[in-house]
Amino acid sequence: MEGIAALGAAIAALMTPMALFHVAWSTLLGIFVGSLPGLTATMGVALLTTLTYKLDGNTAILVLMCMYVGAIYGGSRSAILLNIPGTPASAATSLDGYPLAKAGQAGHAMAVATTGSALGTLVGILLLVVLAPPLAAAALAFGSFEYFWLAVFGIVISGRLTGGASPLKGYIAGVLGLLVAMIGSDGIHAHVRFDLGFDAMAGGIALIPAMVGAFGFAEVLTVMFNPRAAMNTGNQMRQRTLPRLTDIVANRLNVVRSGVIGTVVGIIPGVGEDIGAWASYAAARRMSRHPERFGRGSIEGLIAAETGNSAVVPGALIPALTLAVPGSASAAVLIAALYIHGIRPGPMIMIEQPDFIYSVAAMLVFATVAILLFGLSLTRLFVQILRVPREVLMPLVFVLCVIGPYALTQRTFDIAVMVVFGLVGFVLRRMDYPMAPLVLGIILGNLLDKSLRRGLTLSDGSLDPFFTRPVSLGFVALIAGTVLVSMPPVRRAVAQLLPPRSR
Amino acid sequence: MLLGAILAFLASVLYLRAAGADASVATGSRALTDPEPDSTPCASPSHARVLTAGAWSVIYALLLVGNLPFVIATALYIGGFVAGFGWDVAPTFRLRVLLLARSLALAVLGSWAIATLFSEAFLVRLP
Repeated sequence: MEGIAALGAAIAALMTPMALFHVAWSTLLGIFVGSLPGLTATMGVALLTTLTYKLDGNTAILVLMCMYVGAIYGGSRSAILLNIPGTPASAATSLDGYPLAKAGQAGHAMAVATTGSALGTLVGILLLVVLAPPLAAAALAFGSFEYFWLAVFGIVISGRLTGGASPLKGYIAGVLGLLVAMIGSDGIHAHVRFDLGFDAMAGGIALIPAMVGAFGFAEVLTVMFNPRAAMNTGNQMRQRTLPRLTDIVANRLNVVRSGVIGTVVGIIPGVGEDIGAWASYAAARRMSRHPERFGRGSIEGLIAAETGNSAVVPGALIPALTLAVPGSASAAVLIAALYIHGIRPGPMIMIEQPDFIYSVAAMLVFATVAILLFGLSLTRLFVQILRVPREVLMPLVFVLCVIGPYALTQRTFDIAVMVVFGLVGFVLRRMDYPMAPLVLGIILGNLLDKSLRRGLTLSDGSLDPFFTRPVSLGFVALIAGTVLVSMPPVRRAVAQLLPPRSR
Repeated sequence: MLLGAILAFLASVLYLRAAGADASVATGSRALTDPEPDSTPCASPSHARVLTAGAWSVIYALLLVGNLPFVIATALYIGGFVAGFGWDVAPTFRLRVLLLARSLALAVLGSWAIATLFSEAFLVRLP
């Protein structure tokens, strides 16, 4: 109850005309970014981080939260109308959204998606307020040994779950991220490593230019690589664009289940919204009375996918705020943004800034209200936005990719970093390497390195505490289990051991 | 060194797995349903498009920006991009003239709007 009261106070504090103005434009921009295929939430948040760093901290974080929520929701627009997810988070949405659009119910599908997104975010916010404070308190007991394994676990689980059919590629992407994080001065003695003789690399590779490259420039190239999409709207925009109450009431359990699944997936480091959507969708199909309708325009499926991906947003912020370990790629950028604005995420947050978690939850509430209002009232506008040709939009996006990294440090070196990460990111994507573990490697590399070295100093070079302390041992077991299960021979052996009905 | 060793190990496993998959395809133990991949880098319009977009973007970011005033460099980049990628879908002389006029307008307006918005509203220093 104390948490809910604190959330109420935070909402009241945000009720200023200027805050509402920032909520309005940034959520609208987020929906715009998310709805355009190729522009993702992570790219939007990364670009906006660089462009809003001169705003005061709370305003900048508010703007970024609204961008994040708006972009994840906005992806449903193109998923429904084009059968191309605006962001990877909306891939599951297209399975039922597009068949509904083809059946002449695009407006209804978008209304359902909007309501599902809003409800999913609200479920996630509730869990954020309830879970984050005790998690931060529990994390206070973590030492260097536990943090080392937490960082390793984050990269391994992210690689496993985002690697799809080839977790090995996920692990490789994670290790590449760790290698990038090792460039520059080390976190304890400030020895410069792997600078290749370039002074500019002595400070390391900053996360934001790398993210803008990997998620901005690489996406510009991906959009130019893919064939043009055809829109399936027809005259459907003249029909109903408000949700039916009966749909929502009939799906109340689906909403709660998908919201909880999405939030839990969000808490898992570096996994992200797309997995949240797929997990919720799969659970909804398993529990449905009409599983045969899934993939053919099922309202249940559409609600599950949208509720699931939106609930990941608050879920991903739970470890980001309390452990400084991001639950998604966008949350990784948000962590960087928090540092830029002088907020130190981690277990001390409930001691140093006890109201901050509730402020973030309040920002998410405002963003949710905004997506509901804009989503239901501006359907036709977003359809028009989808018609902007890519050869007009992409150069504008790339110009922002150039301005962003430079704006933070005024170094042309960071523009070069963005370009290199963009080109490498594009090639890695073409080869089916996931980007999330790479990002997580970059952001967790410092924590992993410092915790390992500090732990070894504390134990006089002994590795024993890394394996004998109870929490460390738990992490070791989790990591070993995750890696073992990703091995095809082990998977086959487990499948043979299980009875046929449970497979 | 530790990370390098892990990376080398993972890469070796990936290589061995890929080699195993290739061998199973060669011996016919796996159905080959996918078409043969393109072996030449510019085999399709997609490849040509992405190479052109990548090269033009790199030229803008690493050569034009910093050596020319930002507004001029950005106008050149946007105009070149819009005109270059719209050329194929404008087959007649009249359409091409229209495309060039549109590219010019977008270049001038786009670069001016971006520069003004970020330097005046967001107080960002431009390269």
